[in-house]
Amino acid sequence: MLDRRLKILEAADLINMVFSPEMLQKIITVYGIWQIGLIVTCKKRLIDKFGSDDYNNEIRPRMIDLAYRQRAIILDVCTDDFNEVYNKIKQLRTTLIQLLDARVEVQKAAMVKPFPIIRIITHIQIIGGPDIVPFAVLPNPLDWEYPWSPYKDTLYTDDVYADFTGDDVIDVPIARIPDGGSLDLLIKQLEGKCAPKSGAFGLGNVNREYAGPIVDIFSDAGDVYWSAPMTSDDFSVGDVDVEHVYFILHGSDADTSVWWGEDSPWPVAFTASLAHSQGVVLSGACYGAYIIGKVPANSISLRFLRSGAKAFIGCTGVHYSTPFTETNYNGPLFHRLFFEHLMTGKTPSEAFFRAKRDYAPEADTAVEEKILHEFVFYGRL
Amino acid sequence: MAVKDLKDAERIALAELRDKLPNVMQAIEKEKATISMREYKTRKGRDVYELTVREIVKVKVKEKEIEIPKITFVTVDKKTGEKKIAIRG
Repeated sequence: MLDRRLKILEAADLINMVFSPEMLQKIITVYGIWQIGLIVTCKKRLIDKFGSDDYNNEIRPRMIDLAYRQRAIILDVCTDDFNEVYNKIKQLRTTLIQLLDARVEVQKAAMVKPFPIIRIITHIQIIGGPDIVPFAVLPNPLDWEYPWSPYKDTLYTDDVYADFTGDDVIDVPIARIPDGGSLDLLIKQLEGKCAPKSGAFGLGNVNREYAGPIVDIFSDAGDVYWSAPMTSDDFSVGDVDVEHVYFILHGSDADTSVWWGEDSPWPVAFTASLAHSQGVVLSGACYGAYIIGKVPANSISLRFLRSGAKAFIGCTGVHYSTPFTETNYNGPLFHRLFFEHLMTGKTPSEAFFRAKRDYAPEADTAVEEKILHEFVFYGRL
Repeated sequence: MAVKDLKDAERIALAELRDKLPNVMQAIEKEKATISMREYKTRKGRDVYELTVREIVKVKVKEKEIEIPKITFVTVDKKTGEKKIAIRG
């Protein structure tokens, strides 16, 4: 059965990633459903980066397998303009809705319960870093801060691609598998064969007391360390190879291989060389998920993903906290919502989606508006 | 309690810092940090004033020095005077 379906998929040009309404019709026939996922990538850029041998032998088969497992079709779009990516997704969604409209009578006759049109595309999985599929860029609500300043803070996000209604909130789960120029990373994440050990790890800036209550959500043992006094010398690689990992430290786009705690001077609390885990990692560090021009050797997030982390959730820019134990606003609210959803048994990507949806109506100040969009999800849906 | 104007909001915000984050207040007083005020409408349509405090922190990584702007915001609701602190990192 699987072989037959894959043959049809091949005939439908999924493998060659050619988009047409006819192809969509075939895919829908194969999957037997009207709701499908979307994988967004750029084949040409992947080939240019990794070579045609690695693309054809290593990347493509895994991408096809992922598409099949996610009941997804692949949208091949090569551009640096995020608006063009958004428009292609929108165009594809419109085509799907038109196809659906044509079948409405059939659906009615079959007494099929109509599903919400908003989820005709069930999810979006981006494959590749921002040089393969660009981040969207939103106006930074704190931009007034920067004209005088050398410290630019561009608001990069993937939210735009999953916001079908234009109401500033994502409508379906969205995730990105960045490549970081590493075939190992890409293969590991496309396969998604992670088996995290049980356990928890939390590491907080000593002046971010709320790290304690956040860690309590996923750990009965209160597995939280503070920096200072702790520094990266106090940890070994195995410490973070656990199911749930949480950081709230300082970070910078000038060097994404290091996160700092607070003291005088700020101590190095965590480094890329320690980033090895198959668990779910959330970091509230500034630029924790900033990956433009980065590779696993100089990026903690990419190093985690190359080691097989199930998911990495972090910010593309400056993150803002509260200095107290409260977790009901700014960054801590998002961290809490994510872990609360995760602990109800949701997948990491679903927990991330729910956290964004729940955070959106609470996000009020310019800081919170920025936090809403700067958190991104790296890994498989 | 309603806030009269930008100057009133600055006074309220600085008092909040003195109470909750005395180290930030010290940095302002020692002129290690600079401040500015603005007013804006929030995402939910509230009118607020906002105090921004900026201080540059220098950290060393592998013999290289990196400058990190340490930023603190105090948002003050124009109508109610309710205060909210946000700090970088």
